[in-house]
Amino acid sequence: MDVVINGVGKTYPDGTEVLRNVDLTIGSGEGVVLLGANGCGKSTLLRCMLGLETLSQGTISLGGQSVSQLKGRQLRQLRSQIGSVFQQFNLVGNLSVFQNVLFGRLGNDGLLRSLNLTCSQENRERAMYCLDRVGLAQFAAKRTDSLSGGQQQRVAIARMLMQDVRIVFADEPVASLDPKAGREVMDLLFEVVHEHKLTVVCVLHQLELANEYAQRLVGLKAGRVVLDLPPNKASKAELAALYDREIDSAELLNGTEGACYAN
Amino acid sequence: MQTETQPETSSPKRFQSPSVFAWVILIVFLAFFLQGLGSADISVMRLVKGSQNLGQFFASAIPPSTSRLDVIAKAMLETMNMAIVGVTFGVILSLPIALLCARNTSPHFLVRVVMINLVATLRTIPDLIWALIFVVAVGLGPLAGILAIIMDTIGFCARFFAERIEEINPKPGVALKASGASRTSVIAGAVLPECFPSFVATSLYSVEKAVRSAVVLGLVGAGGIGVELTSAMNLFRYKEALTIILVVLIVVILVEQVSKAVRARIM
Repeated sequence: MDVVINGVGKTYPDGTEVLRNVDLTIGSGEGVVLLGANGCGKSTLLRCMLGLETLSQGTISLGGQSVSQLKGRQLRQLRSQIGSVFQQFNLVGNLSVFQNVLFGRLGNDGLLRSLNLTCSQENRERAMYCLDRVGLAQFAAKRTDSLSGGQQQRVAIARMLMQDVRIVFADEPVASLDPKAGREVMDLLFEVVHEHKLTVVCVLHQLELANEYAQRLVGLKAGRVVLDLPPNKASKAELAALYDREIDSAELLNGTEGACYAN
Repeated sequence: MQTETQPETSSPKRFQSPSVFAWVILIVFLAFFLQGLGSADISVMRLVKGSQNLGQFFASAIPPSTSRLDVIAKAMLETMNMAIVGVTFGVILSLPIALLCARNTSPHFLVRVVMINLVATLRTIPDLIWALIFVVAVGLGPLAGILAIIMDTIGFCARFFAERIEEINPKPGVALKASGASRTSVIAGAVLPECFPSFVATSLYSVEKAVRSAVVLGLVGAGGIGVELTSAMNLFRYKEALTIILVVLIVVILVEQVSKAVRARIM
């Protein structure tokens, strides 16, 4: 699924201008990492792409469908093809891991066919398959909030697998994980992405992870696209300008253990 | 060490006279208090006489009579039935009402305002008055009591349910919405599961409340043990009245302990 973002602007009712004239085209199957300091509009852009925010200007289309023109069932239908991974995992903590994975079917199959009590045997088997894919089959019956952060993020990936997605939006998927768990989650996420040939838009704060996993780096600053390069091609000066600070060369090296975090 | 310099603003006064508003409130309060004290006609004589009467009541009530224990037990069972049935329907009705009242789940601002005011009205009218109204509507007996308890439970539960719903973490719901879930699915999948333990605790507390109020509702003829208590008192059968009071005491304490134990487990 491809993404075409055309002249998008977003101003909140209080007058804060978060996005200014953003143009970005992402091809089907492309892996883009969005970079930028906190508050530069990365998360807002993702929310706009999901149709969770109304646009002040411009258009966004996913796979040829204009997000801002869709409503109700059609918008939900489009969203069901988009997998989202969040910084805080956003799972329903006091339900079982299994139930959370089954919720991946809510957009496609509706409520009754996504509840453990009433769903089809086929969906149950599929949920177990997805959990097994992320290596957590043995935790199916556990309460989700009893799992560690890294495990919860893997459950979120299993939920996304359950969903039949064509594109993945990941909003700082490893920001609340330690470096080791973060790397495991990134590996798993991109394995899944490559297996299913998915388009991916991933917001990251770790420059070395960005260089390692991205096919393309896009930098946002003050609501504008200011950087659009293949990985490892961005100069220190360009990245420093993006974050308004000095960049340590160790941060740019691939696979550095104990990586420095950009924030 | 720096030399001490006096800050330009001086320290606050030791005592500051209350504002005019505070004075007005204080004077109005005092006026009501003194007038109330006066109109209650309190005198040492009356207090002494009162404690003598109380002594006489207990002297003639002890030992409590067990001759009509079966009738009393049956009436107590009816009281419990009223409480349980009333709270069950009350809680079932509170759930959709709370969803309409809560800021994050209400479909429209106007719906929310109307429902919040409806719930506030239900809460403002005391259960005894509901019972009087329903005795007129459906006649004497437990049905009037059940209806009164339903109203009281909605006034209490719908409010606390709605407050809990407004406190939820919105993120899991956003995740489900982002994957294409409908409004109903988000509520059923993310909102209600998170609120469930709190809903159970509130409902249990409401059972305690309803048992206490079901006892009193009988006084106006809305069924249950209160009917027995009024007639025992009116006929000066104090031994029987004491039995009833003790039975009520035991049952209310039991219900409270069970409810407390369950709430401690789930919260």
